Amino acid sequence: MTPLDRLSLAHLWVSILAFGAAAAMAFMQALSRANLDLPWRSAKMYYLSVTAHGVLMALVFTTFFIMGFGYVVATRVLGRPVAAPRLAWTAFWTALAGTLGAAAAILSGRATVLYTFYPPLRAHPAFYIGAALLIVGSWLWAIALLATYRAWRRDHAGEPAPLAMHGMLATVIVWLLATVGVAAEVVLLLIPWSLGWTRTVDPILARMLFWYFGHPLVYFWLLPAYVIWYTVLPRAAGGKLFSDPLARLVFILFIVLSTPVGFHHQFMDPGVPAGWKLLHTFLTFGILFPSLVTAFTVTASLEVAGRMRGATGLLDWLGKLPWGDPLFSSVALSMILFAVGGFGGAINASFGMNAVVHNTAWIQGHFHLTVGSAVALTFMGACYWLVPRLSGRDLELKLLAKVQPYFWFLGMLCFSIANHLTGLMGMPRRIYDASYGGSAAASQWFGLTGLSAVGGLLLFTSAGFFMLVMIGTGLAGPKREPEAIEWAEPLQPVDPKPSLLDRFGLWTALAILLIAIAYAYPLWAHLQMPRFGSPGYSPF
Amino acid sequence: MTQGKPLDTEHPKGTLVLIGLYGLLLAAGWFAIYFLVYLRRGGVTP
Ligand code: HEM
Ligand SMILES: [Cu+2]
Repeated sequence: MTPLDRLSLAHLWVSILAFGAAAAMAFMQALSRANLDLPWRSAKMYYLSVTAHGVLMALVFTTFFIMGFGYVVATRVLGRPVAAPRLAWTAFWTALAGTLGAAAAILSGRATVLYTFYPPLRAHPAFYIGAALLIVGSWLWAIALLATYRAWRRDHAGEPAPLAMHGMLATVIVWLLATVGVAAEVVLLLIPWSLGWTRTVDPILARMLFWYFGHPLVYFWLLPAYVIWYTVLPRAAGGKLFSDPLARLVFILFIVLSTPVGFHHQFMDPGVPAGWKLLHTFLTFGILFPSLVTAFTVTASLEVAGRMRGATGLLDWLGKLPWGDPLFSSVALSMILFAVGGFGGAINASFGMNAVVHNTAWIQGHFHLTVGSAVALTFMGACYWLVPRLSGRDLELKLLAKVQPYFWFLGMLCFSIANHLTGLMGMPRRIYDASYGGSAAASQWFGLTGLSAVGGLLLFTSAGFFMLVMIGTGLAGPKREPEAIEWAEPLQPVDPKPSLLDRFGLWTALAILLIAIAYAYPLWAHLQMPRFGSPGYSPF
Repeated sequence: MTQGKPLDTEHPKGTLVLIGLYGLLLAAGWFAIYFLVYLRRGGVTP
């Protein structure tokens, strides 16, 4: 194992362990929402657990995986060491320290504010400072990756970045643009308020800043998954990438469109003018387009693979794909779940219809298909692929690895379909007691909350299998010469001259312009209004 | 892996069928929720 592989692996391990802890909590939550009276069940425990689950899954598991994967791409695709290894390790320890601080605040019951930490819910300062450190760590990571890319460029003047690096650069740019919002929220509003330096906080301003960050956050999760879909999956399927330029275009569109859409999370908020919400609605429908292109290009790559394996009919290529390979099946099944999630997303994004699903269980059904499956299952599949190759150990418990993605798939279908339906019936998300104190209206959804709990059981089993495979591999996998980490080739050779799609500076400038159009006026107008601050609350 | 000439890969007809079908389902689902849930409950439209 080279020192750089150790760097990537360290990140993957933090990510995997965070996932394991969060999955155990999730199981308890799913049972609680089905009204199963567990001995330790209480509102306090439930919300503590949902906070820990949301933070560990959405912010820690994802971020550490992405950081580690970024280093894999930089070192293995560019074929050179990380330009600033000291900085990279500093990034790791900073992010880890932040995570541990925030986790301690949550687990000790002093930060039960859910992963969105909306004020006026107030947490212990350690929670906000920990979150800030996690972000600072990720910024240092971004600098290390950019420095590595620059060093590569010096030796390869005039060449376009290899596609996987192109995708990771887009990820870094989206992240840097996005985190400005949350950094402002945490540093300017929440930390001083939680320390008692300011008495009140403006919840609407905080929500604007949070969702300025919150939507591009989902693309920070998703773009590395797309990198895997475009540059790893076709090869795992035994084929080639259908189109390299289309993939480049997709990543560029995400740079431009990821951020100026945040009001689609605030359709129900007062204080944001309807016209601006509508602008964000249109931009949101714009950003569905690159995902549709991705669905097409990646599926076409799989069709190429099936045909290279001898398929000739309209759809028989599907049967020729390596469904027994855990990397392939994880990623392919994650894409199917994402397709279902796309349908729900189109409803969420519709300005009027959002009112039907807002803050209902539908939302939780939705994002477990997207971040909880498209992203999480892809990352799990990538761990089966990367951990043996980085650590030089053979994958242990291969049978469990083979069936694990299918358990996730089935579990998630039960969980998310049930939650979409109960959401339409009016069941809220973020409640620990689905019976509403025995109300009649609540009795109609009991069958479905049971189905959701069955889904939770399957998901928990799947997560358990994944953890067993990973820990078994890490501790006991037989040592051997690691296989190479290889990337998919495009069907047509890549044009050696960079095109407009490789001009990152230009597209970033365009993104900033669009952000200014979408946010400058609403923010300015908000600051002109009489504002009413709120003191902090902690219900538990 | 069988490394032949790029077979009939220029035109991914299976993919076009699948993605087309998906598009139709997506639109049908959207309209279903719009008419059968949103408007039926008295949605807010101008
Ligand atoms: C092990 C399988 C999983 C199960 C059984 C599960 C179950 C749940 C449940 C029951 C809730 C609480 C819903 C509520 O009260 O509103 C929840 C919330 C959440 N889950 Fe999961 N989940 C799983 C995996 C994941 C994954 C893989 C991710 C993302 C990577 C994720 C992200 C979240 C987030 C962000 C929340 C929201 C917390 C909040 O509303 O503040 N979950 N999950
Ligand atoms: Cu969003």
